[in-house]
Amino acid sequence: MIAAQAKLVYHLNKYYNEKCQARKAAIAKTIREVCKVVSDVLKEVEVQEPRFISSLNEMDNRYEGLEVISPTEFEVVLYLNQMGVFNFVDDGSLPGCAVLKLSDGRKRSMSLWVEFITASGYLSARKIRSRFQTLVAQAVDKCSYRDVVKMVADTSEVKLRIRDRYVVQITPAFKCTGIWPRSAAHWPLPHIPWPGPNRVAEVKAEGFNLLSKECHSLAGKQSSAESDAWVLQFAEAENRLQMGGCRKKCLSILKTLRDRHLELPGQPLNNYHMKTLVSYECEKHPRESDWDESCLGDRLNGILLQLISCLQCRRCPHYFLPNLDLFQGKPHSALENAAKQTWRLAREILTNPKSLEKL
Amino acid sequence: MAQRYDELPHYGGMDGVGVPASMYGDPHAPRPIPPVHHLNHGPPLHATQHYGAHAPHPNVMPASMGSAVNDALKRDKDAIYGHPLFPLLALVFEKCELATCTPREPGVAGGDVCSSDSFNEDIAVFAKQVRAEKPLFSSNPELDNLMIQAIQVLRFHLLELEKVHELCDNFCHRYISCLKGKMPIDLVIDERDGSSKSDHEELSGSSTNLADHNPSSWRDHDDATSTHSAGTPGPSSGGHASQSGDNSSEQGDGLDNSVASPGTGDDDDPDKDKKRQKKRGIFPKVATNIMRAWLFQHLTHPYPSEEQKKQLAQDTGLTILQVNNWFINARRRIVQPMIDQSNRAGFLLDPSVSQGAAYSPEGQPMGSFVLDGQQHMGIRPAGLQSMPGDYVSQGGPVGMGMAQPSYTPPQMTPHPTQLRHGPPMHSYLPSHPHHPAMMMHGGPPTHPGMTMSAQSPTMLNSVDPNVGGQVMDIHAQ
Repeated sequence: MIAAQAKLVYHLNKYYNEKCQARKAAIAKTIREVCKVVSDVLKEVEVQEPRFISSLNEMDNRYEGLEVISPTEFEVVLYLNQMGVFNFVDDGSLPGCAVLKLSDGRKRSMSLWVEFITASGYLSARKIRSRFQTLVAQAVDKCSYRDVVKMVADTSEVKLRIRDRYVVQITPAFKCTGIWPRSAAHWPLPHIPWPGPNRVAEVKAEGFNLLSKECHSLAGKQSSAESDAWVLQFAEAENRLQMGGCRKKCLSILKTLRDRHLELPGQPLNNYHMKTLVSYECEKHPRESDWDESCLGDRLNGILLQLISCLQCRRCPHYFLPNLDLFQGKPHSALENAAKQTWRLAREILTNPKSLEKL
Repeated sequence: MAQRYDELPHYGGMDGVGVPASMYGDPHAPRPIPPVHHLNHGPPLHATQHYGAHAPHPNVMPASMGSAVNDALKRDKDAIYGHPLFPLLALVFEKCELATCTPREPGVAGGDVCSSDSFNEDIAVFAKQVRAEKPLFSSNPELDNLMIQAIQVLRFHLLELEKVHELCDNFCHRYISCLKGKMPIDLVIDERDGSSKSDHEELSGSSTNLADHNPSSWRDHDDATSTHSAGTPGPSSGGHASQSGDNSSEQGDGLDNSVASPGTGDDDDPDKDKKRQKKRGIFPKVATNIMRAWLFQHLTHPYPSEEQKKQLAQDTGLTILQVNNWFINARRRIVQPMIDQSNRAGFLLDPSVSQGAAYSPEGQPMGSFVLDGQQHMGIRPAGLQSMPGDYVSQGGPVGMGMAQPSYTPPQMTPHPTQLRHGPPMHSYLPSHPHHPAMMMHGGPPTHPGMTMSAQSPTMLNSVDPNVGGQVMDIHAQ
């Protein structure tokens, strides 16, 4: 067993050093190019509407608010934190979402976002996004890179296509640090010793973001609720959570495997699914020793098999928001196909570690 | 110790697969681990138990014997782990775990990941791969037999799981059909919905027996159903709030520009100022001072021209729109109240209007009435227009009225003048020299004038017709 495990770990490390690092370098290059264009567009937007101030800044060789969804798909979060005074209402009626309501006694005209507030006193995510989309469409025609960038039409999201190759979604958002939503109040689970109390405090201090984007979970609900809802996102909290041991390395290998072998029609899987599964694997193996380099193979196998189980159950709950299904809206055939493909992948890794050279 | 360490990682991996339910937030997930694990791991576990049976012996046996047993166990275990078929054994084991935890649909084309078809494919792929590298069997026939039998047992387990799923589905369908058959015909339509729901519940129920994830599903449903309102105040942290405040102030000006709402007026209410400062930002003191100065310099006509607006905009640093809005509000809040007060004063002192008119000549020495005096003097050169001059002097009464309290004694003099002046003026209109003569007569009888002040209302009434007559005469001429 030691010999077999050592062999797998050896090949995984080799895979990581070759394929994963190459993937990171390629994505970093793409990000640099994409962010140049997006920064210019956002500068134009800011000229037209000063309330949308660009928050895309490079820090420590990474961009805050930028998420890599796949090698050709990115999301840039634009923080609008001149919020004024709103109540954050998270009553669980909208899975994975919350609403922003004017504080009692406040008049609508007092708010900075007066024209985006509904008669009921809610800050409408859709109205802000619609306004932002109009501004971006105008900015795209004026910016320096207007020859290589254009808006993706027929969608309520703000999406740019750069060089006919990369798709970037720019999402208006509010950052909420220091508070923790009620939908995630169950976390951390008391009977699981991971993560430790210090880590929990760090994660909760990071807080979450409220994004203005479509909610698949509200597809069948009232349009007014759908219009007002803001999507909860825990990007920074999750990054903080998965520090230590070979967790980051495991996630990197999983992302690379997904990019190379699980890029399937219907887009059933993205990087965020991998991130979520790593968090669940951390709960199953709470001891730090379980995440030594020597256990990398077992963790990887466990995550892949868990992924297959989720795909066959057609359900992948969000780590912090269990009511939110990350496979919501995906076609069943795509999930089934992904399950088979993942099984083939797991089979290769389990029976023939040397095959990693070709994966 | 090393052997146990070998076991732990492998078991950990199995646990990882065996507890997908924990992902769904099922707090009882850890408990099913042992039975599921034990059940699925039967044959290998039996072997392990066999080895375990020897483990206690070292405590009883002499040291040399215990060491020998440990060595034997280690060698046997290593032989199993190193066997060419072990990867396949591990693979099939994982597949059984998946089959146990995953519900499946009968009609999936080509079979799903946990079907027997997939199993055959796994065997074929593994055989193809291994055959190219090394032999499938080792030099130990007993070990080879053990591995093959273990794989076969797992395969049987997989087939049995498949049958159990089919039996469950079949049972659900037949049970539902039986229930439908026993329902009255006229209730079939209503019951169909109920049956459909029941069908779902039954399916979920059956799945629960075989997969731990479903209890979580039920809990999820309950969570979704419950609606508890919980407001969380202060979404922004202190730092962000501060920044937000600054930006809000700046954006407030922008908002004023973008939205054609009335500009921010200069409001003296401290509370309002404080509130508005949060949202809009009032104009700087310097700007309002400049505009106030202009306003007070042009109280009679507080309407700046376009050129003046431009100049004010430059001086204050505001936009023309903002200057416009400020003046609109200022006219309402500053100028109008002053006019209102002035009108009230005029109304209260109305009875003294005619007295003032009569007193006009006396008023010349008073600096505050210079304008009125000048107007009167300006009209005098035209003899025929002297009467209109009197009317003009009546316009001055506002100022006169304001000054009246401090000049009460002089007002008494005009009464006798008015009294005697009436008839003579009417009959001797052409003779101007008489005016000064009458004035001289009026001087001495000051005291009698005071006596007759009680009759002043009557005098007013009598004067009006005379004035009317004068007008008629002028018109006739």
